[in-house]
Amino acid sequence: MRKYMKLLEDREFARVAKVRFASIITFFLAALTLSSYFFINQGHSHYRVNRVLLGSLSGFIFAYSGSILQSSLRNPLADPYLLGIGGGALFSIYVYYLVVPAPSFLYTPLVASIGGLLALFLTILIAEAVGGSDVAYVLSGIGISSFFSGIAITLYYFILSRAPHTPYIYAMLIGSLVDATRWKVDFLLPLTLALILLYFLIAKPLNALIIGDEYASQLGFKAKYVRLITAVAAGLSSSIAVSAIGMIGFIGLVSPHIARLLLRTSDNRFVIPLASLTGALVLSLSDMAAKTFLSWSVGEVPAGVITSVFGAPLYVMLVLRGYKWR
Amino acid sequence: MEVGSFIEVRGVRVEYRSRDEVVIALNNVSLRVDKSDLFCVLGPNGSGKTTLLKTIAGLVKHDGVVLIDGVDALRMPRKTIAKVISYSSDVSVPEMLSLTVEEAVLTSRYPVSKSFLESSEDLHKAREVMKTLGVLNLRNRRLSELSAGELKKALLAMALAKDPKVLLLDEPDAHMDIKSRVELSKTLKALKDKVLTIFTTHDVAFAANTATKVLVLSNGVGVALGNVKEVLTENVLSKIYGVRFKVLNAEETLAPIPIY
Ligand SMILES: Nc1ncnc2c1ncn2[C@@H]1O[C@H](COP(=O)(O)OP(=O)(O)O)[C@@H](O)[C@H]1O
Ligand SMILES: [Mg+2]
Repeated sequence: MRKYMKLLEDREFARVAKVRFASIITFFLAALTLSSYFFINQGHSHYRVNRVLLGSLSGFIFAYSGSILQSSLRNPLADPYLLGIGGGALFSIYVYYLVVPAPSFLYTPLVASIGGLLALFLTILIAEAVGGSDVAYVLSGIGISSFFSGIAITLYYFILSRAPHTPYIYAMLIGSLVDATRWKVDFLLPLTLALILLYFLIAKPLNALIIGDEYASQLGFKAKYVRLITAVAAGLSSSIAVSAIGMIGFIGLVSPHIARLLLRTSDNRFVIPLASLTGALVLSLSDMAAKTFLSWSVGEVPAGVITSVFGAPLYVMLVLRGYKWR
Repeated sequence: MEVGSFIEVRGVRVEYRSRDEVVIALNNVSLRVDKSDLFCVLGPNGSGKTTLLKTIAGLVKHDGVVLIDGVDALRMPRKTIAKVISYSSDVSVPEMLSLTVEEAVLTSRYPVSKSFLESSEDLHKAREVMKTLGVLNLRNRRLSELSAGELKKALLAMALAKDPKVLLLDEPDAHMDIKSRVELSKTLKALKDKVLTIFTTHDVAFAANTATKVLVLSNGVGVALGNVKEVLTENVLSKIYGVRFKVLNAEETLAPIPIY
């Protein structure tokens, strides 16, 4: 009996430790982003600082989006790219550059959001129409994603034939942090802070949604409403991140799973912060790897290529492990 | 008057629209349940039992009214209802995302607990409920790994952890072994004066020895309503299920059995 009580205490201790851990990383994050913002506002805006910030903020956004999409759609395979947001955003940016005579990059986040959200809702619509299973989402997402990416690549050649020197357009396609300009960070920082605030509102409803729509509803969280907020938040923020650094895959898919493995829980109050931080770290590290280790031989390799090369095997490993970790 | 003293359902009608037909799941159903009742809803598959529970929980669109303590449930804030009513039915949780039993039971505290992370009171309550229902040893297992019967027990713990005044249980005894069933019956009876309970089941013997009142649904219509001994007779049971029944008495236990 006493041994049993002792065990209880230990479990309780473990929970408290987790709680502290989560609070620490959340506030760490908030502090980090805020202070970096002030740093930049002081006028010390160096290219290197911008580039690190751009990488971490985009990685944060992709991973955050992946976490909330996976929980709200109850689908471990959900991620901003798989659901078509990336393709849709890219597509709309290219249409914008093709149609508008003097495109301004200041409008690209808005344009990307429209395309990204459109693609996301098409994916959800089609998936729900055929029953809304995991597989339905993946298949529908792959379809929508390929469709929009396909058109986008076609448009890319049109743009290229008209204006051969548009590095931005190329960077979008391949996913790169080379063009680390100040305005991008100015867009992504407030967005990231907004996501951190949103986390406090949606983490608990998302936990309930994992269990089921009706279960969540009887706890007072309207399932459809939570899902809509999640979709809009993920769709908007990922699209804006795409408008800044282009298509970078796997971060949104893999980071939440890494966080679940490390924390040994699916509780979103812990998973979302750690996954987001993981995303931030992985993307900025990939970028560093891209420019340090490879630059002496072939010049700079885009970060998007690195994340795919390392992300894909990691992903396969996660799937193969089959999640037998508790 | 205490919260959850009585529930009234008046002339409720629920329609589902599927592709090209309209299914009338409930048609002009009325009932009253008092706190001192342990109320059971019986009926064949598709007769509208689940829909009735969902209607009372405010989870489906319906005509007619549901009154909680005499107040129209639609007029009550969703947050209040979430604190007062627990609705529990089967769930299927994706394996890679599944919470553990304890984590799931703790989600039940969300409507009643103010803090973002759980307080020690939440944890204490969750542990207590799990202990009472005999699922404390399962607390670190994921919901997706549980056997169907274990899941039912976990679901009951999830329904009870928020200290509801009204408990709506959809087939709480399904998949349970005999001992668990008897224990569930005892648990529900022990809660009788604290929580207003309505449950559904396909096990007539479980109903006969657990409930005090029974409503029988057939094709969305209430066909019998009353005390257990009045309703669960050989005649009525044979009519409901279209199978001949014999009601035996074994000690204090009523044993209605179908004739094969
Ligand atoms: N979401 C739904 N859409 C369409 N028809 C439904 C839906 N839910 C239930 N029904 C139909 O309503 C009727 C009553 O269902 P239900 O309340 O689940 O019955 P029971 O729980 O008694 O088996 C059934 O004919 C069922 O097919
Ligand atoms: Mg049912």
